Amino acid sequence: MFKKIFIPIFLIILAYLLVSNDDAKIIIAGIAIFLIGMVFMEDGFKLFSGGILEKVIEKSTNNIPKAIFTGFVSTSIVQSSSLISVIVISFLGAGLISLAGAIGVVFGSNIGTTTTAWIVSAFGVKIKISAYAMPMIIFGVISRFSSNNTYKGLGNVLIGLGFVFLGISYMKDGFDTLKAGLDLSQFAMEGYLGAVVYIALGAIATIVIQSSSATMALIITALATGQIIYINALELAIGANIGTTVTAIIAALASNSNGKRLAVAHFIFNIITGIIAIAFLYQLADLVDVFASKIGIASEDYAMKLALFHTIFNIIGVLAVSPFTYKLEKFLAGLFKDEKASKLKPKYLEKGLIKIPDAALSCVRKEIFHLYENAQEVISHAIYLHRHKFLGSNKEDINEIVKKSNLDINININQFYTSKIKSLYGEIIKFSALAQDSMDEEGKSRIYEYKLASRNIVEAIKDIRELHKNITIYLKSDNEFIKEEYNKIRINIASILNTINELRDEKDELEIISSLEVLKDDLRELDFLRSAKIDSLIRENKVDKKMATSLINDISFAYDISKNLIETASILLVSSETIRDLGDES
Amino acid sequence: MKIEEIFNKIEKLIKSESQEDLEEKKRDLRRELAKKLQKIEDKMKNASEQEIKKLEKKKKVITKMYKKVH
Repeated sequence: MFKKIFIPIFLIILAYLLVSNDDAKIIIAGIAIFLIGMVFMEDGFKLFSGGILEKVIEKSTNNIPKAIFTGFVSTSIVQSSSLISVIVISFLGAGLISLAGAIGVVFGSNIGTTTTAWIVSAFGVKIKISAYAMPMIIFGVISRFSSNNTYKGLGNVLIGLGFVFLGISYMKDGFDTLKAGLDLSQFAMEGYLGAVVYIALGAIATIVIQSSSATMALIITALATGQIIYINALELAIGANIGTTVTAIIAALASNSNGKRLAVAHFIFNIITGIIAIAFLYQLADLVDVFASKIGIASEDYAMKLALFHTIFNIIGVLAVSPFTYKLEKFLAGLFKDEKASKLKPKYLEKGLIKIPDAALSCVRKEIFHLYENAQEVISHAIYLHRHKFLGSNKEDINEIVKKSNLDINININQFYTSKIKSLYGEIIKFSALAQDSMDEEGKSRIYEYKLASRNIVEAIKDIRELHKNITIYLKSDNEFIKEEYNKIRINIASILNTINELRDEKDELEIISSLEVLKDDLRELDFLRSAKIDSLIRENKVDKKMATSLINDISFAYDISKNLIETASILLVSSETIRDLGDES
Repeated sequence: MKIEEIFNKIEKLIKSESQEDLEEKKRDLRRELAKKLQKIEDKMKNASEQEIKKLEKKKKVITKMYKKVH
């Protein structure tokens, strides 16, 4: 309802401004170009960073100061707090970082966004940056011709920077010429009324433009051209900080519980920071003067002083709020409960990470583990074993467990396959296909292996479906010989599931690959021994022809299941291709 | 020469691993495998018959790997 009324009114006002006032047209075009630049930069960094950014965020959030620093540095470099938020929400969803760490990154990210103000005030309004914009855009476009994602990303970053500079230049030109006709500084207001009006204006501008960086650029260019007075600019900056939380909250409404938690953390942080800044506005302005003189900013350089103010009040906010991060984490975890984990739906395939190669690979790997766990359940039940009884046991114990087990498990493998395997497999394949578009050759080859691992799991389920039928028949048989042979098949499959389960905690990849090679050797040996055993059972008339053919077929199924599981484990547990190649013979 | 080809050449140049790096990697791997073999030998000295069987299998696999990187 709100959108239906607000958007048409906004568009009509915008159209009127564009038609009636040439200067307003230039300023608004500047904002639009600036925003396009931000979009290009964000896309570019996703491709260009090639996963470095994600690796840094993933590894550097284990304590709050580190997380804050990571948020600050990464946002300063990529100039986009929304990109960092997307990564952090996705990492939270994929279970790669903690909520407290993510909150820390968001806090740091707030300080990081203030670098935009420094760039605009240091370069944007002092030199003719449009002169740099054109070469950047040209070289950026050339770079985009590359099929390599790094160069493509670099091209997007250059185009983005070019547009950001061009946008600032347009805003500045617009304000310069506007001043000749209309002096906005005549509307300057001091005192608390001024504070209320300008904070509200800053917030509204940010909600409308949907970018606090663009609002800050607008404020600084207006200040540098003398269209607003310094104290009102400070109030607008506070308003922009508050306005940005509204944008985050709106975006989070459609998000998962992690997105909502972070949006509320962001909101609480900005509101507290805003209250502090409003309450101590004049003291903060004095503090800015003190720091400005110490770091060599001229007392008349209001644009730089505004950037300094923006940084100082965000740092104060971090100092005030960060000691309560763990309390905030607890509060937010209680406020938004986790969606119930489902075996049927993907747990780790975060859409926001599709275009971020390393993170996408990590998601796919985790989801295949999820698929594997579902498969482990169905395979165990198909051989009439409960996982909690045999996983973690030694070989002798497994022999005993198999002998003592009875046919007390009711399982419909077809139904299980359709509900817990097929759809998940489909989601993995779809996500992988989309993700590999942003990957280099190495990433594509890893995705190919992951797809292979998923297919191995699916094949194993299809084979166990066949094997399950005869296990059910022959475990009820009076013929002890055939029963024993089928028990051996069960022991073999359970042992492989058990070994793979143990290897999941192993960090030494050489140890993993050698253990898997031993499993493969055992499998080959067993296959040979079993065919010899079947020959002897037939010769001695201990099994009939039908039993023998069933057994031969089922041994082949069991061999394929085991081989597929071992290969899957090798792909999922060994990341180094060189080490995987050591065990390449199958 | 097309722009695409120039980029591909630059990329290859950046990504190409020198022969020295490859040799270094192989040396590291050999060292690790040799350490593992030594550990298995040590374990075998005090192991039971059944454990020795298992360790023999592992030794065979690791020796095969060692030969592969040699």
